[in-house]
Amino acid sequence: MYNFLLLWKMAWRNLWRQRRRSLITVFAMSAGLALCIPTYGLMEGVSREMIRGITRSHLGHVQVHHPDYLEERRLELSFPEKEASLAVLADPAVIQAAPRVYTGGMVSSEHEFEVHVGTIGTHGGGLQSLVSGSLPLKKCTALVDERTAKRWRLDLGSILRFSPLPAEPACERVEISGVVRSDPAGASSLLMRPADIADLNAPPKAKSAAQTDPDDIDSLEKLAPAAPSADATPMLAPASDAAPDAAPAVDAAPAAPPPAAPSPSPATPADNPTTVVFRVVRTASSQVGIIAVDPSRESQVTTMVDKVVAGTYLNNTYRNGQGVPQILIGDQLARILMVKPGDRLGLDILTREGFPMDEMVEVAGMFNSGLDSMDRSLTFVHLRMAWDPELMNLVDPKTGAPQIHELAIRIKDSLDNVVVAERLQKRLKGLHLVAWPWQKVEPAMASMVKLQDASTAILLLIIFAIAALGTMNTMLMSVFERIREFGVLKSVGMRPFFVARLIMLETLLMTLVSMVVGGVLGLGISSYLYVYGLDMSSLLPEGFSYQGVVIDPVWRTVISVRSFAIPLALMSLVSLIVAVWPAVRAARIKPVEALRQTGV
Amino acid sequence: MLLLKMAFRNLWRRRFRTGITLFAIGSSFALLLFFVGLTEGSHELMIDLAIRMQAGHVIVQAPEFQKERALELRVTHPEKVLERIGPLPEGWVVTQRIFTTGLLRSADGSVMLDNLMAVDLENEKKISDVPRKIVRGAWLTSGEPGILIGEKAARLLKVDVGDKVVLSCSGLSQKVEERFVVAGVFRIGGDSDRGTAMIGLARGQVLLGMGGAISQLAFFMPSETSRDAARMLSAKLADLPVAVLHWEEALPVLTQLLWVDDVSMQVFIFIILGIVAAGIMNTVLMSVMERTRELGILKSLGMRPSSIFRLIMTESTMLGLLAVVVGAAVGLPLVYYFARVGIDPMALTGGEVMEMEGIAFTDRIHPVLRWGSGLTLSGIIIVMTVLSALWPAFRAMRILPVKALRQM
Amino acid sequence: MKKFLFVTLILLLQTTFGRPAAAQNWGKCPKDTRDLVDKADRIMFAKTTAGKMTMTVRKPDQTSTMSMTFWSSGRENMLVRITEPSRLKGMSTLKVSDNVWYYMPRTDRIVKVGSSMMGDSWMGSHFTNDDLVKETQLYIHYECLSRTDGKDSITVSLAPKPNAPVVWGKIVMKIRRADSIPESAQYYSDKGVLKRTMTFDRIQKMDGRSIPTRMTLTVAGKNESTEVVYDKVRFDVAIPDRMFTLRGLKM
Repeated sequence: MYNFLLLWKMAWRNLWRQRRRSLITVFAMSAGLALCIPTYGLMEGVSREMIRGITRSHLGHVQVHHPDYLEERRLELSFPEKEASLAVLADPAVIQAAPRVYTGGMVSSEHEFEVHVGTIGTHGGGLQSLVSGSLPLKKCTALVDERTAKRWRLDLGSILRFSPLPAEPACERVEISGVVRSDPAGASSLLMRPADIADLNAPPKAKSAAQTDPDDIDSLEKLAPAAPSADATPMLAPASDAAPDAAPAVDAAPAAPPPAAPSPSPATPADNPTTVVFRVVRTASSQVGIIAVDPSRESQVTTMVDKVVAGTYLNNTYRNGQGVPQILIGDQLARILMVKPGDRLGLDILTREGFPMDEMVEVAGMFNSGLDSMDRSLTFVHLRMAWDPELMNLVDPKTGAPQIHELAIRIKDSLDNVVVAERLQKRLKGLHLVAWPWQKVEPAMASMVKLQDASTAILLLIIFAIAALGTMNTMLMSVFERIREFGVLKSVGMRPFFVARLIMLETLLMTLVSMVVGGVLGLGISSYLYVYGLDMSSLLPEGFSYQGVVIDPVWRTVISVRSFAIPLALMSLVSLIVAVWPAVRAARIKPVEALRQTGV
Repeated sequence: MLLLKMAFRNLWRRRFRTGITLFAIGSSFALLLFFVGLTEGSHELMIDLAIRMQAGHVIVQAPEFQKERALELRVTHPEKVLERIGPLPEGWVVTQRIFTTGLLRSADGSVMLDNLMAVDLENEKKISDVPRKIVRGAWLTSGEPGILIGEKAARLLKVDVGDKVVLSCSGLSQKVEERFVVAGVFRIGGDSDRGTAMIGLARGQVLLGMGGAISQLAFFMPSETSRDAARMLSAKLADLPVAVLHWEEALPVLTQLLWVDDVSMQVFIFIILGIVAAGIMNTVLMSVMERTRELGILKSLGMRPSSIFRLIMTESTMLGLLAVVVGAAVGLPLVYYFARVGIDPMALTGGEVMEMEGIAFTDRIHPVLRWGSGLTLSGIIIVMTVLSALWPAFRAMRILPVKALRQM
Repeated sequence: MKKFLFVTLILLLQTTFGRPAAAQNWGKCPKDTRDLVDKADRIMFAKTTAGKMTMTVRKPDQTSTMSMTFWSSGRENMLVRITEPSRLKGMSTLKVSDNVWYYMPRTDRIVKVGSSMMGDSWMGSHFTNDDLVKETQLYIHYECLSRTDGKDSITVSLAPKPNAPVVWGKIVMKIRRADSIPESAQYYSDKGVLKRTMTFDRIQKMDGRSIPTRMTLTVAGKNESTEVVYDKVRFDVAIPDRMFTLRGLKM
């Protein structure tokens, strides 16, 4: 007991006597620690953030499917929503499970506007005003002016449809063959061939008296044999191939040979200086993937709500006040379709039976996920659309139970997900479903995270190694410097073991102090980085995303026990181990040798 | 110089401490070298794999092609381009490609090909990754109407080498259909095994009605010369209606990823330097303090403060230089060894294959250390050492002889 | 295969078979084989056709049935309008040469079927949009392998000509001896595995012609089929050209 107290007092006094040296040593160790702790925290933070990004953006921590669904992605591989949800939500680790139905379809927007239809002759600048493309030489092609082209995103090959569709054989659609300079007066111009314009302007033919209803098959009259009539010959003519995308079947009609038409002869089209106003429709459409979700449950599992950049997320009710269902689209898609929140789109959705059903939907809002392909081709609708008998009708044919393709589950502790997945699997065995952790659903992402973690581990190892080296350096020096001192102590009778213990204790004390100082400093830095984060956005281009996972340019630490415990433990271990060698040396030194040393 | 001799002798006198310090700083440096080498090596790998599939070190294509891959956006006279460039420099390879889409059908089903390529068989073989990744069959020969398809596509179509398939695609002016025979099946990894297919360039041109036109010329060269090459090609082809892109412009996603990685690497180097600096400062400070008496004597003997300052600084600088040498001696062989052997990325990811943009990274990573990086790092360490020594040296300068002598 | 069926049944095949080619052997078969196959193919041909039919699609877990009215003219034009069930009533498909459009009555919209959608199934059946567009090129791409004359029917085996862009390895057609009405067509892969079978039965007289009024496409090895039954067909009737326009599609 006495020995111990003596040891303690001596150790302290030694350290105190050599304040400077001790302080320097402590300083070195603390600095190392103070840097390692936030580094570990930062690494953990970035990793957590990455996982969070992956799981909270769409995947969820665990997913439930029909066993073959992910491989084949067929509509029929669905399962009953209610039973599955009940089974899953019964587990205490589950916060929420979001049901989803996946299908494909098309969305299209129609924009109607006025154009002044004329010939190239009537346009200011004439042939010189052609900016790109070529003259409308083929049937049902046209030039459009720059401003209109820009406004309605028209390009070479774009199609405009007349509205209403012309009654008589005339171009129903025109294909843009070129772009001309805009009329400074600001009018929207569509320049076509004189012949096509004549057709459009032709007054409607008097309807022949008894116009049979083609729907009544029996009432159709037989064709006269070897009829010279319009029906037979032109249809065979390969001339129809001349305008590949032009109005359908116009070529079959006898519009070209004028005699039959009572309209004024198109003999002098070029002289017609005036333009006629028509309304045209620009249809923009896109094939999309459609995900039907339950908005309230979905927003508890994923962060898609936060990604809405215009308008709002989906409503909890299926149809709005006017009975129109809502749709959430990506901002890129909105740009392609030229729509904004509140606009209407035509939605063609693939049903359980395999044919498309259509519905007008209203754009609730636009999202930006960070991944271009997602923003261009993914849309979200209310889950009820999938169960709507008028639309997808994804219910069990026998029981009528509403079906889904996927449950995305959010659990309390994201690191537990593999274990929880196994548990849920057991619960769902009766339903013949599988519960997979996200790592199994998206192995590519999982390996990316693993690679990231691996390189982080290597990095941390290097950092710790360097810090440990510094510590070692310091400790060794601080002991070896005083070899002489210890020699003196021994020469006055101090036992070797005592000397060793003395050194170890000194080391321990310095280590403890460093731990406190370094720990506090480390905590301080970590906290700062936790609150304010390391803002990398000036170095990174705006928001970095990988495969739809947006990585926050602000790096934050995670204040966890681990980020403290590990660096502290490692440092202490290193310093204590490092102290052994000098302690042993000092213990064994012969007093005579020590005294011979000429100090440092 | 006297100062140098004194500095060296001081270091030598306390060999032990010098040794330990050298070991500490040197190892840190070695580890840093390894880490940088590893990062650079993995970047090289990613770049290499990515550009070989879809681009080149420098590519020449129609100006809007980068935004939209339409068949009409083509290079109508590739021979003019080549003519303008003249004879290719040593080590360069150029290949020509057409990119389009199509539908591939068999008696059992159909597959949408979102990346149908018609390639210059001879040159593409030299640079493409596909020949190595062919699991059944072989590379295309110019005789047969052969097509290379991915493993997933082969599975979906239920075909194998030698079976026939029908390819439908939109040519420049009309839709076309032609029968092909599966010449080989490849496994690149990822979605490419389903949507990517290759046919011969000549056949592709005929099929699509392209005449002599192509979508892209891809140039491959030693990677360090790529930037200069891009500039040079840009200049030579300035008056032709083509765009010359360096791979960084052609593959923005990859570039971004690498950029982020570089940035994080710099952050960590910064942290490491902080730690090293603390250690050095500590060492030098200690050494100064130990020698207070000695330095006091020197001063009392007439040595000027500035000389003492320079002495300490010299010692530190030498320490830094020696540490760099030691570190290099350890680190370079380490990097070199792994550069030869390579590191299996699967070992790092625990057996999973990492994928990015449809390309699987299964090749070994070879750490790469450029002279530039190595010298920069050395320089930084030395500078760090010197800077950390400033304060202790300053302190040393101000030792009062009287106080010093009074010390034990 | 599907192209063969659909186009054969609904569209006119005008010049493909009408061309008076060199009347030698067709492949390995006696020269009248070509005429025979020709006739079988043209059993539904006319300058124009119009009619009503019912299509039933059978899949392992569900069966769906729809009735439709159709009009066709030449090789180029075809319009189909669905009349039953009420869910689909009014949905129409228009084909003019290589282009296909749908009309969706609920939203009163015309949708153009883009090239990436051509491979998709038409209305959930085993036909694709592509099948509607493609002209049968049976004669152009196939030649006769063998011919067996039985008591009531003649069996003809067709093999693709070298380099023909067709997925089949062999087509075996069975044609009734008496009236050249097709009985069945079997489609084999290159390796000789049967993939699809078309059967023609329920022969009746419609508008003065004997035609098989039921055609069934069965997928080999799976419990799936698409069956088309003609309720009424008229040949060579006057169909106004305006039918085959977008306006006609909408009406």
